Amino acid sequence: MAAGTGEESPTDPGGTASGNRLPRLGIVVAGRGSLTPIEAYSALRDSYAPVFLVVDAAGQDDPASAALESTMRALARRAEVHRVPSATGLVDAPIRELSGITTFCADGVEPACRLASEAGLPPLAADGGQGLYDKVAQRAALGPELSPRHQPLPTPCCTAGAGRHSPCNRQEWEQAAESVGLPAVLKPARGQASRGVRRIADGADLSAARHEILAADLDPPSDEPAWLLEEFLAGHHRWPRAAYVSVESVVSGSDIRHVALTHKLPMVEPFRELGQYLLPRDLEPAGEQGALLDCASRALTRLRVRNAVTHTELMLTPDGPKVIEVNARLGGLVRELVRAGRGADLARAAAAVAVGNRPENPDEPAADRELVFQYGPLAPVHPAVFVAAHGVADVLSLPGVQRYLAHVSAGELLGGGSETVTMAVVSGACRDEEELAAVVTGLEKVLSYEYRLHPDGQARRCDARGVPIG
Amino acid sequence: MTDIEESVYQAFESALGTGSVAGQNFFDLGGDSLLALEVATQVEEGLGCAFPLEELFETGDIDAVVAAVTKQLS
Repeated sequence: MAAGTGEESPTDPGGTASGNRLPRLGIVVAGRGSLTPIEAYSALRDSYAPVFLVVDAAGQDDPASAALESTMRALARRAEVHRVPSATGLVDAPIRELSGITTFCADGVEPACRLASEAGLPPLAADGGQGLYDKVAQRAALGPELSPRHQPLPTPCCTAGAGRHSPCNRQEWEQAAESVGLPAVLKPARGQASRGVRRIADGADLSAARHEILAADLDPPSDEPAWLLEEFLAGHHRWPRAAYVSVESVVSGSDIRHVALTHKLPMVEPFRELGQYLLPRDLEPAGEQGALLDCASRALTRLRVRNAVTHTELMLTPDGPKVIEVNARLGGLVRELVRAGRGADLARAAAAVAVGNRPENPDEPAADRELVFQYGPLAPVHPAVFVAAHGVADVLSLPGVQRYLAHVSAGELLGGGSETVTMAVVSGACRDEEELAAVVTGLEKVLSYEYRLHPDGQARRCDARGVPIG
Repeated sequence: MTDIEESVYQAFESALGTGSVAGQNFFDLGGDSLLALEVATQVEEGLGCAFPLEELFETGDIDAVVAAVTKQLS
């Protein structure tokens, strides 16, 4: 990817051997996504001319940014690749002659909304889409019926006494905690994959969180709310089924089609996702399913979503379903799961609706009478270098397990933290949740990972949940 | 082994930096999307055909991909 003009010329931009022009589809790339840019290219290249719009991550000198740079350099031989300034100047991006814009990255939703609006392309939402990338705006649009109690918060400017940037707002945080009630969940107003999300059990946790945020100096001073404190939604899980689900939907204009209801394995503390599955249609409790899909429909309608594939997370509370969040992009690993269990390709659906078309109907899926699952062994919460996986052959011999796909290579540095980072994905199919519970128990008995803690190099072995052994 | 099969296997071996990939799974050998694109580019430029990149991502089955390329060119 060239720096100056930010453009590369592929050998056959948007063309085909027969000379037919394919619709030019802008794909915003901004950090990690549910599809890598190469997977997106591979999925869409027969029907679209992908135009990659890479949002600049200025100053980021981490391995992930370097890997993305290599990826985009390789793709630039085959597709158009352009850099897009992150904050301003989107209007200068090469968006002319595009037929639509989509993204598979959470951080790409905002630029995708802005680019679509500036270029007069089919919008992700009818009102510009702030509610799709700003959690505070999303809560406001969803209203109290669909949302937990919540309170937007400014960046902490001090822990006590005089502030750095503005008058001390410690009291504002404490008042928010009083109004929302504890325990609560503190989350960044923008973010993905549980990045920066904390459970706040009491006043001490709140104070510690303020100190951590201040010490990390994450946010520039701003009048915009940077954090959101929300009521902790307690649900009762029935192992292996968590109390929350996601609904995968395709929105085409005002038409909302729910493609799958994705059940989850219970999370690992604090908010790390362990796995997900689709039930065979005949095992899905009809009444509960209806309430969840209705809740997702109301959320998408209130957010005025128009041309997007969405991933809506819902918590089952005693008062009915509440929205955890609505994501205007494909969920992580959801494409593979939905293809296996429902036969629909949500990557192609996202492209279709982005250019204003209705997606193709999926063929009748072969696996609809089976439960299809994915289990994602978790990286440790401490920074560590991955050394080796143990027990993979035993995992593959478990009934129902079909595939173990490594996500991390030996020698790779893992940054740690509360974000959901998977070491691999174990996928397969079985009859019902009882069998799934046996598979999960079985694989957690045999699967472990060896690391060297960073930076001191101390050896550490962790189980599949990222928890140290011994 | 035909010339086409040999050429596709060689593209995999060169990208993965290993010998004898027949019968193996691309991802088990350390393959990722960037290496997949490298193989695809080598095969498409060398043989002038469309490489089944989606099939490789979906299954990782190197033999199946070689067979698909061979079928396309025969």
